Amino acid sequence: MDNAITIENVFKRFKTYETDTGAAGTLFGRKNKIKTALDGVSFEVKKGEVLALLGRNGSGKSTLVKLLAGILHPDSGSIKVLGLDPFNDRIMLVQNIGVVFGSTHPQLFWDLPPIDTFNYIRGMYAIPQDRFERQLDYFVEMLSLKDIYKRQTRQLSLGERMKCEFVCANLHSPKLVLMDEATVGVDLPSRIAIGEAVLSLRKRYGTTFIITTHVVDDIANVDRIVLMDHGRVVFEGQQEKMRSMFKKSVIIELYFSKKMRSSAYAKYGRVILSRGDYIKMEMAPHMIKRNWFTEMLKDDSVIDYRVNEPSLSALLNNMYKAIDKENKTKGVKDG
Amino acid sequence: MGNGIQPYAAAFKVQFKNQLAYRTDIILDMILTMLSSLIFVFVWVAAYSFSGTTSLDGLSLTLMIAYFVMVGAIRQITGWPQIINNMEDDIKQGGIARFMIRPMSYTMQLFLEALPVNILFFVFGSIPVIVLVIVFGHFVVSYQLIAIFVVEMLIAYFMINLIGFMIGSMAVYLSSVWGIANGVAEVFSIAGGAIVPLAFLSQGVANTLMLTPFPFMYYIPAGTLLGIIPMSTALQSVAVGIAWVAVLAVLAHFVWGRVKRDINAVGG
Repeated sequence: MDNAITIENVFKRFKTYETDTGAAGTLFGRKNKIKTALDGVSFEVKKGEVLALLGRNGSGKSTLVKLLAGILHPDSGSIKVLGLDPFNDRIMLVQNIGVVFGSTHPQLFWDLPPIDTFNYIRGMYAIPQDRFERQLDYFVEMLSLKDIYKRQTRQLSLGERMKCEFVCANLHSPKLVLMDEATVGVDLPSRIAIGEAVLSLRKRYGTTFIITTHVVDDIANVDRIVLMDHGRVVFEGQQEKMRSMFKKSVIIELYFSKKMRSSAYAKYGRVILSRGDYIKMEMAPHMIKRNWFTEMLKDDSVIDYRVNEPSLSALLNNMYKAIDKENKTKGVKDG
Repeated sequence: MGNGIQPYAAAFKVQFKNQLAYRTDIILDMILTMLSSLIFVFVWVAAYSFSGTTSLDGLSLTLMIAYFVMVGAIRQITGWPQIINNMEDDIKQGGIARFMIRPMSYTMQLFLEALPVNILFFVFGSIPVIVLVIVFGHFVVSYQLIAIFVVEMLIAYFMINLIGFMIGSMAVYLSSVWGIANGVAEVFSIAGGAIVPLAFLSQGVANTLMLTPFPFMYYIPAGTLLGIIPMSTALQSVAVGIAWVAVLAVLAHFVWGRVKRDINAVGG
């Protein structure tokens, strides 16, 4: 079996309600609604894969993570995680998975230092003392926790706490780790440290990671992306596929020997920034093919240039715009 | 499958340490629980004084005071279960997720979360008070009676917490279970003999209540140690009480098995 996770046609709906405004509206104007959190989701995750699960708020990512961890029960469809049914085999499954729920549902005990939670996890998973110490040393070194993990949790910064939460999810060397918006509000050095730890653990143990995030930097090194919208999978593939599908432009930076007027370059594309002897502009790929780029460079005042791929954020934004356009055409509404 | 009892032992250990972070809260809680029972002592002192008699329905004032101090001591560990508040928060705020990712039963984790406080209450709150009552009330207490009393306290503890667990489960469907919890607590107090000893009620009402789990919460344990309930009845009660706990445990298991499918933890 090469798959760590197999999800087939999973549906999950929640009962919710809306009320009218005012006291009377709250009492008598209640309308029950069914919110479709997952609408026939299917995909697979290979063992050892690092997969980013993306989507806007309310797209169904967190619901899916909770289904994978056995916390929620699917209305229909089938989920297999490490060959087990997450809901019915929860206790057996969670022996082999780790979950980081961001700062919303921490594992760390607020009034105790992280080392107490780590020791609790050692007991919970019956990790032999020598292996526990080796693992702890590894994480302390990798995530720079030396001056952190013996201090009371309530005294730690969010970034420090999240690094410790990451340790909580990985101390028992799980086969699969689910990270649900684990880097929200976390500072850059901590985010980078966690990102490097993910790759290191994958290399060391072959751990599979599912990462849900809104922080684009977090997905720079993932193997594959699954994008969700309105409870459905709307894109599945590698970053290269995302680029080829949603790349609308390239970014060109021009350096001049003298001050230039940006209006002279407006015909080639959209000028993003103009600063005397420097112009940054966005150009559609077909304009490059039509030799407009070569024509631009013929100007003797151009002393240097740089052609950049659009950022991941820009690509994602293009994806969301394309999805919105399609939803509008199909008449897809929230819930 | 799993690591047997080890995860639960680890959970108990860390919860104990965690609860000790709130020492002042625990001490204040202990004092307030005792004070609430002392109110009944004053009420009964007034009642005896007003009636001008030394015995009501065969119970002397000393015995009555001892009874309510004993009820206060029992409340220290059975109390109104923290389990309800914890469950409501877990279900409403989504914190249940952090329990469900551990290789342990959620029910057991809830019990273990509350148990350290219960033990502290028992050791530092209940035991000293019970000893004082026995010594100053000149009650004759055998080891056998103490053993039965301890088992009855455990029955009361599990009974109240299992019912609390089922009420807490309702948080999946209700906006708040606070009202139900308070209502049920009043029923426990009245029907359990925490406000009036059941011996004071009419024979018919008392006999009917004895068929329910409520007397096992306060009346039977307190009555057993103070000799209000004969030893033979107390022994019989232990068997019936264990049966009630088993029934409630099966019921709680069934309820949770149904309710957990409807947990609605939307969003992050």
